[in-house]
Amino acid sequence: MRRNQVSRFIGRNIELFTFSLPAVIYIFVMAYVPMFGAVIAFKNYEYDKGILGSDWVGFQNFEFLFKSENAFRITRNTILYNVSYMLMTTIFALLVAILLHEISKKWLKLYQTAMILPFFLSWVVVSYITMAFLDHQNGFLNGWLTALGFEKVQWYFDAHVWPYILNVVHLWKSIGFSALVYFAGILGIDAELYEAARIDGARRWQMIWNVTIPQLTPLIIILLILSIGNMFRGDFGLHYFIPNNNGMTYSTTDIIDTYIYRALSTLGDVSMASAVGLYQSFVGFVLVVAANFTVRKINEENSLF
Amino acid sequence: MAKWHGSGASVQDRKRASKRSALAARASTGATTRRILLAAFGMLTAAVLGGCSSALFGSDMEESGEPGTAKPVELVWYYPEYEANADLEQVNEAVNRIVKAKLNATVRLMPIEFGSYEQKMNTLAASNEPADIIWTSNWLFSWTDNAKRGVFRPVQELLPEFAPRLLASLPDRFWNDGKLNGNQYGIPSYQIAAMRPSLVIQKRFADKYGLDAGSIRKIEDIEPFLKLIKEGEPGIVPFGTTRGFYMNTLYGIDWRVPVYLDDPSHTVLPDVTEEMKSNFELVRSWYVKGYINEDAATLREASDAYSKGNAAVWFDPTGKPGSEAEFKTMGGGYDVQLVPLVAPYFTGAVSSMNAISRTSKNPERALMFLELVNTDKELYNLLVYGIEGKHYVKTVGNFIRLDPDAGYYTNTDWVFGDIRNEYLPEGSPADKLEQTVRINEEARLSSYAGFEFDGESVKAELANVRAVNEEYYGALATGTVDPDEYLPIYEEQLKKAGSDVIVAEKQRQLNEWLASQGLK
Repeated sequence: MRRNQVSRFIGRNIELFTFSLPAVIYIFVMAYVPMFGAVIAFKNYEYDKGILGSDWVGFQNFEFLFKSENAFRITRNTILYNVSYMLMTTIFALLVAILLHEISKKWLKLYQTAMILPFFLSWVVVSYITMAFLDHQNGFLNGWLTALGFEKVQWYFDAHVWPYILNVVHLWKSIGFSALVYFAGILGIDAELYEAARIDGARRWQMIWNVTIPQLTPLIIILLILSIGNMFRGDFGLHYFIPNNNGMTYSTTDIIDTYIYRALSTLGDVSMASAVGLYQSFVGFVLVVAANFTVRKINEENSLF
Repeated sequence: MAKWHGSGASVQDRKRASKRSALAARASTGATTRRILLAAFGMLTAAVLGGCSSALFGSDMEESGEPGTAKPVELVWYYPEYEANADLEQVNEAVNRIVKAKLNATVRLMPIEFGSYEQKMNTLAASNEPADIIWTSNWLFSWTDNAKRGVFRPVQELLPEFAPRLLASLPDRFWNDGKLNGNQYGIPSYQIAAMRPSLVIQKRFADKYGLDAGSIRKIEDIEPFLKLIKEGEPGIVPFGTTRGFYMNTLYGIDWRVPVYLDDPSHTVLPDVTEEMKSNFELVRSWYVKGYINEDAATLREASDAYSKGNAAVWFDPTGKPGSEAEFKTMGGGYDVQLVPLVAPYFTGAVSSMNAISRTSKNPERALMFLELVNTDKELYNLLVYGIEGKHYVKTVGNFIRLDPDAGYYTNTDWVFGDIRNEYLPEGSPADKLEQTVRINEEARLSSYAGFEFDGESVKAELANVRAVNEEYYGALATGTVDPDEYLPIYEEQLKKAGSDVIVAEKQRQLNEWLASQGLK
């Protein structure tokens, strides 16, 4: 486009541009400007010298991450947890949405409210709720276990139980919102389809299987693809507060986000922390491109770009 | 400008209308809007980049035009505290009345809880937040690391001119401890500069069970007493701890470099010593017997172990004179007695210092203020104990009675400055200050005094060893997990993290230092 055409194009769409401005500014400030800071990962950052003045050190800041097993561990944890959160939430939210649709409408609002409430709690609050269950001395779970004649379990020191605990807590908190989205999707399904099915003699189960699920498939796929984009971005609050940032459980709870936080706050080394951050962004980028490529191969319409 | 067309309008109408509106936009507002948008964008970019510019280009130390007190300034002081004080505001105002009159300055006191001090200050330093005075030490918010990173401003040139009385008030030994590569960064607080790892025992139990404190020479000797408590006092934790009580010095190992005292070969010991292993075994046996609080490894702050007053015994690495009174108020109001386990050894003044931040716009005034804190009895006691008549009352002589619930209570005289200026809380030994001075002078010096390990070449290994320690050390040192199972894992992880490399590097630097000192 020539200059003249560009300005005419902007002029014609000025309302739309204005509307998008806040989002553009937000992305620019929060995502593009800080991107420059990635150079810190290759420097020995000293506060008095500044980002540009500090000495270049090549890949030295990445050494500590790859010398230990940490790189593998946090990468594995981040991906596995996110995959499992994604699948669990989708399956259970679908189930709940269908159930909500099938039951009588009398208590519907109550069920919805009860389920969506946890969504608005902060992780810090949730961490105290989980602690009430898991505390070694006074927790409910250990109380029940001893009442039933079992040994107490040291939940906060046993790395093996945490994949289950984290999944349950995550599901509890996120299911309300996801179920609501699917429920809205179900409400949008043309009632005539159900009517036709009923006339053909379909039973409830058959209607769910042959009408509801196929009609929801596009929505499910879109939501799945969107969450793949966030696959490498762990839920910091969940993984930091719920296990109480306890050393003994790092092997199964530590994700890239919590690792970066600790690297910066306990080592106080900005360069090393941003090296890990850059690693996260890089792998995340690769992952999104790969996911999109796969989706494109299967069904071009559903791909993001 | 937006035009909405009813569904009744014809296609023709719509086209015409949209053309009109586009033309109008271009003619009247289009150009202006664009210019406004561009300007806004430009300003935004400038603002964002401007905000980062000091991070980008580094900032030279600010030179203030007038070092005198003609211009009023505000100073910001970050230091750690045990818990937030309700009356901080009032105390701050009282402080400002003094400082305003004497230095034409005001101070903003910014205490941060001990547990999060390191993390908050790391973030604060990384974001170039303006600050004037930052408390630092060798054990919390490491002064050497941060001096190397450029957080502090060297003050040797300013001291003689702006804080001559402060300069004269401390012995050279103290000043030398705050120096790095010839630059004076730290301004030490005069306090106990020696450590005397001790057991702290609640008197009520010691008396009840007839404990002979004199018979306790090493930490194992307390075990029979713990057993009595466990059996006789339900609801009381016999031994309260958060990080266990392993210290090299308890086992005849030097405190500056992990080498056996008087070892002629000067061999640097590995991270996990035989002594540490047997210590972990001992703690584990105590844990299994129920002597140790079950939540030990999940507690964050040392004082969490005894602050409820339900721990009969705990371990204190410093054992300084007068800490009985501090523990009494911190530990639920019960009298305690200190049982030192090791003869005092000189650790230097590095355990509590204040430094001038590089981001300070008024380093001169900040120094003048620190001089005032360290030499003005009224100001110093105000910072430590609060307002007279409200937070404490004077009793006999230099003694005062504190009210920990009155709204201001720090219990950290050593954070602010020279403790020789302080009033003594009731329960302190009358000769607390004399004892402090005496111990400082008598304490045994490390054979490696003056040696400073430079970790720059093993940065990655140090970071990883630290990560391993965060994962395993607390659980092992408190006996929460079985050392038979976890010690081998811990050792293996340390090895993988490169602890051997660090030991070798330390040995190399030590040998060089010994050679340069003519000791080897």
